[in-house]
Amino acid sequence: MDKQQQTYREEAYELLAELEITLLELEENPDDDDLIDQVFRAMHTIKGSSAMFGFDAIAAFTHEVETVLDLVRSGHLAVTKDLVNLALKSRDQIKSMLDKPDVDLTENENIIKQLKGLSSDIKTTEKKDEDSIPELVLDMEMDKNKPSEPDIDFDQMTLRTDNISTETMPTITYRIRFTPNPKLLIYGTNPFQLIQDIQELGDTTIVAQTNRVPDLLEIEPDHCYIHWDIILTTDQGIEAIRDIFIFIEDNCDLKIDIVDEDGEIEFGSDYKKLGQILIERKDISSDLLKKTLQKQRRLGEILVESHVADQGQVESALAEQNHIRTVREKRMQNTSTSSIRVDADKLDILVDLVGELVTVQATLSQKAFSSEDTELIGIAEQVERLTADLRDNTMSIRMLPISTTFSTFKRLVRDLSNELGKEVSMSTEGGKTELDKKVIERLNDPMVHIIRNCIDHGIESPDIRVNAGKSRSGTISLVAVHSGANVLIKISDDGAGIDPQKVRTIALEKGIITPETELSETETYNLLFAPGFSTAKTVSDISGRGVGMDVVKSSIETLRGTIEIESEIGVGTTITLKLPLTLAIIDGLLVKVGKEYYVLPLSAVEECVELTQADRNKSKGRNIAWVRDEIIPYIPLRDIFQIQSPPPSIEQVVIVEIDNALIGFVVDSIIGEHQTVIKSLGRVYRGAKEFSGATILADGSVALILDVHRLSFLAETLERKKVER
Amino acid sequence: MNFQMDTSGQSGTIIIDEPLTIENVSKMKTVFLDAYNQINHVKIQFKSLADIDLNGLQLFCSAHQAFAKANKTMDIDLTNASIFNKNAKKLGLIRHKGCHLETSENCLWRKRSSR
Repeated sequence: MDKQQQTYREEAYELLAELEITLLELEENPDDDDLIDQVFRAMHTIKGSSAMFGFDAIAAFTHEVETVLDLVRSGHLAVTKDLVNLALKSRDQIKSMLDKPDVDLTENENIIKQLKGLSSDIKTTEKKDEDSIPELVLDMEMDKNKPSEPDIDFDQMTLRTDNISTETMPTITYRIRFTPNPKLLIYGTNPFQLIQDIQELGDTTIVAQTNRVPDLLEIEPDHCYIHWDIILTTDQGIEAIRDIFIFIEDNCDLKIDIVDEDGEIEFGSDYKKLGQILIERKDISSDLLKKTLQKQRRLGEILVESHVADQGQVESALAEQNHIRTVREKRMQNTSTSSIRVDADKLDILVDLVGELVTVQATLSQKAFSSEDTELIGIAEQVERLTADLRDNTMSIRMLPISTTFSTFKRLVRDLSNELGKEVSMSTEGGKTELDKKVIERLNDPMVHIIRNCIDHGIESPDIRVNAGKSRSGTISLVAVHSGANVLIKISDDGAGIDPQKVRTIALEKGIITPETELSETETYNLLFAPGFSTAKTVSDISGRGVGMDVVKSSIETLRGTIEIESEIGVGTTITLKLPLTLAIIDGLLVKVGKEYYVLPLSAVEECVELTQADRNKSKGRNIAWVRDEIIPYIPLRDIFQIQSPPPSIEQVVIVEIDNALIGFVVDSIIGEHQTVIKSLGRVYRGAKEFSGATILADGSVALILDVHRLSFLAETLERKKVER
Repeated sequence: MNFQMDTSGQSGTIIIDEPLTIENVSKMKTVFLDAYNQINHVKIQFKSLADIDLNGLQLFCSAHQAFAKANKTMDIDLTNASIFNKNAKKLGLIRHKGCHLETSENCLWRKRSSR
C-alpha cells in the first residue's frame, strides 16, 4: 500500500470514529442541523477520498448512504432511531471494508435496501420537492462522469502527504449587503439557492433583515421585503461572489465590502480590554467587575431604544463582529497548533532512544562526579538537564486525552442497553485528562468488561427501577481525574449495587473462602476478582461466564495500576482504576538484596523503616513489624529470592500500599530514588511474573523491577503452603 | 387551511395542512386577516408542512407584527413543521432578539434551544 493510501486509511478511520460520536449525539438531538451537517460532511468526505484513492467499493456504498443523508439534510427525511441505527450500521460496514478489502459486499446491498425503505416513506404529497430528491439507486456503480476530486472536503480531511503540495490561499472576509427588488421572487428567483451558492464559497454568517416587512394589512404576500447582510470568509475573489448574482444584478442592490484580510490581523485593536488589565493587575476582582458591568447597558440596547438603529441592524453588526472574531481565532489557532502526523512506531523508537540516553547520561554523571573534574561535572550537569527536558517532552508527545477511548464506549452502552431492553445513558467527565498512548490502548478491554458488567448486572430494567423509585433510565458515568503521578478513572452506575452477603455466599459455595474467613466489606468486594467467581445465575452472552473480573484486575495490574470497588445496595457501584501516567519511564526506589539491585515503583511506596534483630525477636519469628503501634506484615525478599548469604545486621523494610493494605518488603539496603527506564524482559524471563520489567543502571548492570502485587500474592501462596505442611 | 373561531369569540385556531409557498401565500394572508379581524388570540397548528418558502416565512413575520401592534397574540405550535425552523435558519432569519415590537421574548425568529 502506498503512502497516500495509508494516509487515506488513517484519516478515514478518524472520520469514522467522529461519525460514530456525531451519530450518537444526533440520536439525542434529532433536530440539530449542525450535527446533521457534520454527519453528511463526514460521509461526503469519505466518499470523495475513497474514490480518489481507488477504494471504489467504499465510494460506491458511501454514495448511496450519502444520498439518504442528503434527504435528511434537506428536511425531507426525519432523524429517527431506525435511521441512526442504519447510519451506524453503514459506518460499521465502511470500517469493515477498510479493515478487510475482501469483505463480503452483500451486506452493503442489505443496508442500502433498508435505507431505501426509509426514504420511500417520504410522503408523495411533497410533489414540488420530488424533483429535487436525489434518486436512490441500488446500482453499486458510481457516476463515472462525475469527477471525484471536487467531492473532497478539505476542511474535513486534510491530506497530510509528502508528495501533494497544498498551497494555502489567503482568505478574505467580505460583507455582502443584498437587497432584492420586491418582485424578485415573482420572477422565479430562489433565495435558498443563492444563499447556498454563497455558502459554498466559504464560511458564512447570514443575517436576514426583517425591518422592512410591512404588517399584515399592507403586505403584498408575493413580494420580497427581506434583505440580507452576509459575512463571507473565502479564498475566492470578489468576482466569484458577483458571479452568483450575475442573473439578478439588475433586480437587486448588491454591495460588497472587504472587512478583513488574511495576514492583516491588527493585534492592537484586539488588545486586552480595560477590565481584563485591571483584574490581571489585581486592582479589582472579577466578581466586582461583573457586578459593575451589569449596571452598564450594552451599546446595542441603547441604540435600539433610542431608535438610532433597529434590532436587525444591531444583530447584523454583532454577527459581523462575531464572525470576524471566530475567523481570527481560527487563523491564530491554525498558526499555533499546526501538527504533523507521525507513525506511532517511530514515536516508540524515539521513547526507547530517550530511555537509552537517560541511562547513558546517568553513567556519565556518575563518572564525572567520581573524576572530580569540575569541567566534566559542569558538562555532565548540562547533559543531565537537557536529557530531563528531552525525556519530559518526548513523553508528553505520547500522551493522549482519555476522551479518545471514552467516546467509543457510548456506542457500547447504546447497543448493549438496547440488546438487554434497558435504558441507559452515559456521561463522561475529565475527557481531557491525558495518559500515555500505551496505557490508553491497553485500558480499552478492561473498561469494556467493566461497562458491560455495569449494564448487565448493575443497572436494573426500567420497570424495576420505577418500582424502586428511580428514574426509568440508568446512568453510567466515566470520570477521569489526575491524582499525583496517577490518573484515577471512576466507572459508576446508579444500579442495584453489590450485595456483600450474596458475594460471600457464592465465594463459600465455590470454595474461594471458608466459613471461618472474616472479611471486611472491601475484602468481600475483592472476592469478585477471584478466578472463577461469578454472581450471575445464568451464563449470558454479555457477562457472567465467571471469567473476566480476575482478568480485568490482572490487566490493570500489568499496567502497574490498581482497581477498587465501592458499592451501596440500591444506590449503585463505583469501580476506580488507578493508573500510572506512563509506562515507559517511572520514578523508582532502587534497593539492594544480596548482590542484586531491584526497583520498586516509588508511587506505591509509603515509607521505609529499619529492621533490626531486636525487632525480629520482638515479633517472635512472625514476619511483622511494629510501626508507630501499627502491625505491618512484611515479606523478606531474601527468602523469596532464596539468597543464602547472611543478611546485614540492620535491614530495611520498604512499606507499600496494596489494595488499601500496607505491606513491607525487606531489603538489605536502600540506594535511593531512580529514574527507571522500563525495558521489557526477554523471552526467557517472561514466566517470572513477579518482575514487571528491568532497567539498566548507570554502571551498565541490570536491576529488575518488582511487581509488588504479584510478589505479595506469591508470598501469600508460599505462606499458605507452609501452613498446610 | 382553515380558521376556526372558538365559542368564546376571543380566540381561534388556524389549521394548516398544505405547503406555504408563493403559490398560496395570498390565500394564507386571507386566513390570517380573517383571524386578525375577528379575534384577539390565534393559535396556529400544522397538520403537516411539506414546504415553506421565503414568502411563507415573511407572511408569518408580517402577521406576527400586526397582532403585536394590535396587542393581540399569536401562538405557533411547530409540531409537524420542522421545516419551518429549518428554512428560517437557512435564510438567516434566526436571531438572538426580536424586533422593537417584541413583547415577552415571543419573536418568531428568536433563537431557542429547541430550534
